[in-house]
Formats: sequence, structure tokens, C-alpha cells
Amino acid sequence: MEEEVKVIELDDGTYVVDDEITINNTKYVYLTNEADVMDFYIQKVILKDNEEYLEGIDSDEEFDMAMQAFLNKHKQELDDFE
Amino acid sequence: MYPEHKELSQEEFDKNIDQVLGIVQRNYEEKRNQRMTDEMLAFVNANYENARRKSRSTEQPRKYQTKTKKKTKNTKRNCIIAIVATAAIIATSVGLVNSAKNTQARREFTETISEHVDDNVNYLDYQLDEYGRPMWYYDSMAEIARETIDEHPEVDIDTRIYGTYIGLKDYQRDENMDKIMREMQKIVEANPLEYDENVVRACNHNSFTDYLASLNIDKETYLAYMKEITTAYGNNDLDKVQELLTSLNGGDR
Repeated sequence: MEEEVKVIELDDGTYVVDDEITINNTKYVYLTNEADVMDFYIQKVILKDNEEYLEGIDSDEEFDMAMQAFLNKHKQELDDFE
Repeated sequence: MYPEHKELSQEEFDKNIDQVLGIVQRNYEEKRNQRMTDEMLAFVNANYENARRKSRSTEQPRKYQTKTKKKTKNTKRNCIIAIVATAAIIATSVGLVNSAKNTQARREFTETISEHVDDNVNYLDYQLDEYGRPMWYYDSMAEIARETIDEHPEVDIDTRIYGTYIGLKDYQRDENMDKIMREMQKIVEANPLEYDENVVRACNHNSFTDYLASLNIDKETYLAYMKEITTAYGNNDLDKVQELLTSLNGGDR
């Protein structure tokens, strides 16, 4: 059985786009390395000349906040998995 | 004193050995589980820190251009669960660490504001009641009362009273606290102008029950509430202390 997933090719490999969450008008993208499920990270999306770009987040606090938002949105899936 | 030596039958000996082996086995399993937990936490922490570092990368922005790809079923769900599980474990372990720090901070602070009670324990008159429980006596309830009022003026009077209550040993704790409340009442009644309004109001009760009634609070709620206040003091979070005290004194006082 297969499914179609959204991916992005980056310099260090192909990443699955797990989700996009908008927090305080900023869109965050959650990416997981397709070769290693524990290798994930978060980028924010900026608009430049009407095109979307991925940019690193600014601080540890911003990272924690984005992780918390992800946890809040998906914790049910963890409960269902267990 | 060592127990009297007794020859064991083979059956008793085997039973004892089984008990000892059971204890060793449980100990071993607990330690092994703890080691696995430690290793798992270290692994999750390392992944979380790696994600944090990668997320803060200062590389030039890259175009967000995606495409679709066929993957085995549940690929996306597994990715999501890995992130959620990592976040949940980190949140829990941070919560546990914070909880332990709070307990330590509260304990140290409470010990400081209750040490005058311990100073007054009369170890010479210590006896056991008919159930073998220790009966504690104090040298001077008046002295404990005076020190509750006078010592640690940097801490508010309600928290100092709580410190005294917590400092008392279990034996007749409430009865002893009633005696201390009466002694405090005598002190403030004798020289009301010497003490500020908060001290006079807090100490002018002839029992601990009356004191709690003046706060419109039952003892269980009071103890839970004072735990929060002493935790805030222990963490030197004076804004939080003020907020909690305002709420505590929102009763009839």
C-alpha cells in the first residue's frame, strides 16, 4: 500500500512535509528526512517577490513555541497510535 | 541490637533465599528499566537539540518548492508521531525537572521559616504514646509565637505562620498551633501599635481554626495554597508571591 506525500528536495536529502502551521501570522513548515524519521526540523516561510522561501527560525524560544503548536495539534495522533 | 540467632529449617532457609533473590531480581529490573529510560531520554534530547540546531540554521533562504511522491503507507503519520513523541517526552522531562526544582526550592525556603520551631523542640521530654508514636513537646510556645512574629520580616506574616505550622511535628500539631495562635494574640494585643496592620490582623485569633476562617479557607485548600506561595518564595518570584497573597487575603480580612 502506498500514499502520496508532499516532499521537498534539499541539499542534504529529500524531506517529507509533515505539516504547515500558522502562528502569529507566520507559517511554519515541519520537515522530516525521508531516510531518518528522527531527523526533523522546522523552517518558517517568507514571501519574496510573491514566491515562498524557507528560512531558519530566530531563537530557541521560537523553536519551542513551534514545537508546542505541533504537539497541541497532533497529540491525539500519538494517543491513537498508543 | 541484633535479633536473636535462630537455626532455620531447610524450608525456612529456602523461603528466605527466595525472598532475597526476589528482592535482587526486582532491584536489577528497576535499575535496568531506569538505565533504559535514561538512554531513551538522552537519545530524544539529542534529537531535539539536533532539530533545534538545524531549524536555526543561517543558510540563505531556499525556495519552498514541493512535489508529491509515492511513499509506503503511513509514512507521513510516522513522521508526525516521531515529532509529537519527541515533543511530548521533552515537555514531560522538562516538567519533571521543573517540578523537582520547585520542590527543592520550596523545601529549603520552608525550612528557613520554620527553623525556630525546631529550635524549641524539647528532646529531653520526648516520649512515645501507647501506639509507639513520638509525643513531642516544646520548650516555649510563647517563644515560638514571638519568633513567628519577629523573625524573617522580609516574608509576609501569613507565610511565617504557615512556616510555624509546618515546622510543628505531627503529634498534636493543630492543638499546639492553637496554643501558638493564642500566644501571638497576647503579643499583639499587648502592643498593637508596635506591629503593622497585617501582623495584627493575622495574629489576632485564639485558634488556628479561627485564623483559617479569617481567610475564608479550609485547611486542605490552605495547605495547597501555601505550597504555591512557598514555591514562589523559594524561586524568588516575588510578583507571583504578591499575586497569590492578594488572592489569599481576598477573604473577610
